[in-house]
Amino acid sequence: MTRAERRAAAPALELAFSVPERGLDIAFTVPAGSTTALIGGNGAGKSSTFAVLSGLLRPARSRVVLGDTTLSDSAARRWRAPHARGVVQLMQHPLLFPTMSVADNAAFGLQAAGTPAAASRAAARDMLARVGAGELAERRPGRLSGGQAQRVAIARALVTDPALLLLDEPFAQLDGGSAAEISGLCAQLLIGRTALLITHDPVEAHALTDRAVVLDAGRVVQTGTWEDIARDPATPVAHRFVAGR
Amino acid sequence: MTPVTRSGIRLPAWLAVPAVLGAGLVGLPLIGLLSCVDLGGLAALLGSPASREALRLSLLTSLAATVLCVLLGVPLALVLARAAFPGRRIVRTVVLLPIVLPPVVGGIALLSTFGRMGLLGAALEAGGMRIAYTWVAVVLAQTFVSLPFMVLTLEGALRSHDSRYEEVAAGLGASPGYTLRRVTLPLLTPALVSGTVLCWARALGEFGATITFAGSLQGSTRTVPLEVYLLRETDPDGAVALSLVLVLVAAVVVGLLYRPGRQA
Repeated sequence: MTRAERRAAAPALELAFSVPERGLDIAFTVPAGSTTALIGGNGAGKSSTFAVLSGLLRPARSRVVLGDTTLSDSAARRWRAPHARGVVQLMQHPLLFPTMSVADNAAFGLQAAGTPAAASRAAARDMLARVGAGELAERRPGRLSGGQAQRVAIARALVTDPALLLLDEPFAQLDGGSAAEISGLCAQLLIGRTALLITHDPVEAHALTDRAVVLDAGRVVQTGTWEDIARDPATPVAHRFVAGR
Repeated sequence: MTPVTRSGIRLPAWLAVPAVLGAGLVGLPLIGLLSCVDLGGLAALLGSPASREALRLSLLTSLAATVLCVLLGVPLALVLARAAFPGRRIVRTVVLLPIVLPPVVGGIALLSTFGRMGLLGAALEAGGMRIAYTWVAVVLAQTFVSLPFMVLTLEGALRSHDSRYEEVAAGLGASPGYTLRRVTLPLLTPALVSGTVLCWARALGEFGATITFAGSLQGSTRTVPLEVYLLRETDPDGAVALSLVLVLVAAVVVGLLYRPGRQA
């Protein structure tokens, strides 16, 4: 699939949910094929937003629509289980399955979907090569460096061609050099994908995203391109993200 | 002797004293047992029909109980560790109770449930089933006392491993069943092996619940521990020899397979 085709196939995201007991009432949209940063201080609602999107948190009131698929709609009592969403999360910790080889980790999503073993292994190897981890295929996850493990985690996530990719500070535990390298790799791989990025690093945010949703105390206080936000940043956190521009 | 951990950090030297005492408390009686063995008579004794039958019965029933512990204990541990439901603490308490209960009490409890006069006795009898004082009772008694060891071992392992692995698997599109098979159970394998060995060892040594619930009938319910107890009166040398067999079998299996805390 070419990048232009992928952009055409990528779904737009529409999210609204509220969790009154946690003081959360969040609603925003992400344009198709755009990587959007989710920024805000601690307790702003970033992690809860990811949990709602991936189906790990089921608030009493929520509506999540991804392209033409409704992931949840509390009014219509519709809710898709986490494994039926095509929403993949990439976290600080790569969380590679320690009982499988790197190749089996990368092939996991395809095998879970019933793709024949040979085909899924071939696709996994292709993807490992694309993220620069081709020579690691037969290794055990425990023997990888942090950077290598995160590359494998990226391959494992992308091989399923997720409809929505959630990146939760995926470079926070890497040292400066490999963080920059892997962030560069992600920037390429994210082109044309619908994705959300949680980060505390303005450089990383600008490298990977073109827009941001600013959260504060459980509410969305600003959305738009970085230029929009730079004109009048709504919170100190937002200000910090656009200060150096 | 200076206790040094694998990381090279020394433990306080005085720890060695109670540690040696503890090992001695368990080890000395075993040496005492060995010192009483009449090696000449061992072969003859183990060849006796009563001993052979007891050994055969013990092996078969303890293996059957172990299989039951795996089939029932793994799901039970998963539900207790991961599912949220009202009364979970009560269920866990009840399931773990046999560890602290005197086995004789367990035997009486089983008898008052599956015995002729018991809770389910009439229903079982109507169905043509008699459980008390049969080999089935032996297996049930062994399972009753062993199951908590499986649940305890697995639940501990489940709680210590990161449940985010299952969340990652779900994100990648794996159904709960696929995740259990490809992610959770492989992660649990070391604990599953340890739990299985503990269950089997506990089942092999079971005495109190068995004699209460299953009686001591040669060939059908008299396992090795019961045979040892019986021989103790009439043939002390024989009791020692048979005990030795039990010790050796258990030591080999536990020594080879039981690895607490081993990570995948």
